[in-house]
Amino acid sequence: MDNIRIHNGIVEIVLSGKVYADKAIDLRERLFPYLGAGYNRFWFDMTAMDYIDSSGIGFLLAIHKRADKLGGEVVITGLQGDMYKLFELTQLTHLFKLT
Amino acid sequence: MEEIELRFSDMNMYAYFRNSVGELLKDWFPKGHTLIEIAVNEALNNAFLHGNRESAKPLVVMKVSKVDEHNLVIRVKDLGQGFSLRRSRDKRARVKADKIMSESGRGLLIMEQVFDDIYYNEVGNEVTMVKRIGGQGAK
Repeated sequence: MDNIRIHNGIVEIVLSGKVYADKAIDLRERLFPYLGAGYNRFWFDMTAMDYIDSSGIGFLLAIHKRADKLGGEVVITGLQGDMYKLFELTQLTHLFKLT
Repeated sequence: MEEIELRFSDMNMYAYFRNSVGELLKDWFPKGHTLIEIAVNEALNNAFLHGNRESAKPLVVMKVSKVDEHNLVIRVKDLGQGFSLRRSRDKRARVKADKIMSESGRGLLIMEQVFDDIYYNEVGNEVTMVKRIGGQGAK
């Protein structure tokens, strides 16, 4: 189970293992309510994530667009190795704020 | 050459074997197997989502061939009628298009970025993906 917590008004999510389509749906269902509750800053820690497919990326873009509309942002930390390369190949390193 | 052929009747069945396919790719190509695994799964997802809509008995056939230590060929075939995007050869246009912000349709982009060559049959229901690893011409 991926860890979600609120810290200083930021929704922090730790992703680990493989993010397949079913997990992306689960994340959408669990995180979108935070947007409805007024949260617009999301921090994803992907240090321990070793797989994400287009559905997971689609989810990240969806939450990025909505957070951006609300004046917030999505920050991604811990991308490395093949996961960073995937974001590079799909030109997402320019879109997301990476730390 | 080492080769396996797998037949799946639905996505759940493939999900059951998904890790095994990943382990096989890892065993064959310890470096860079993750991106290949993701791209292969995108091809399977496309086949299940788009390829079998009209079929009462859906079937997706995947053939994974390790030609040698530097060359991998993967074929994915479904029972569908194909779709126009599969027939498009204009890879660069799609990569640069407004797909970057699109929440869907990114699977083809991943396939095209990870594999060195991608071919579609005339109908558009079979994709052949070639990956060169570590050798001449590799990405």
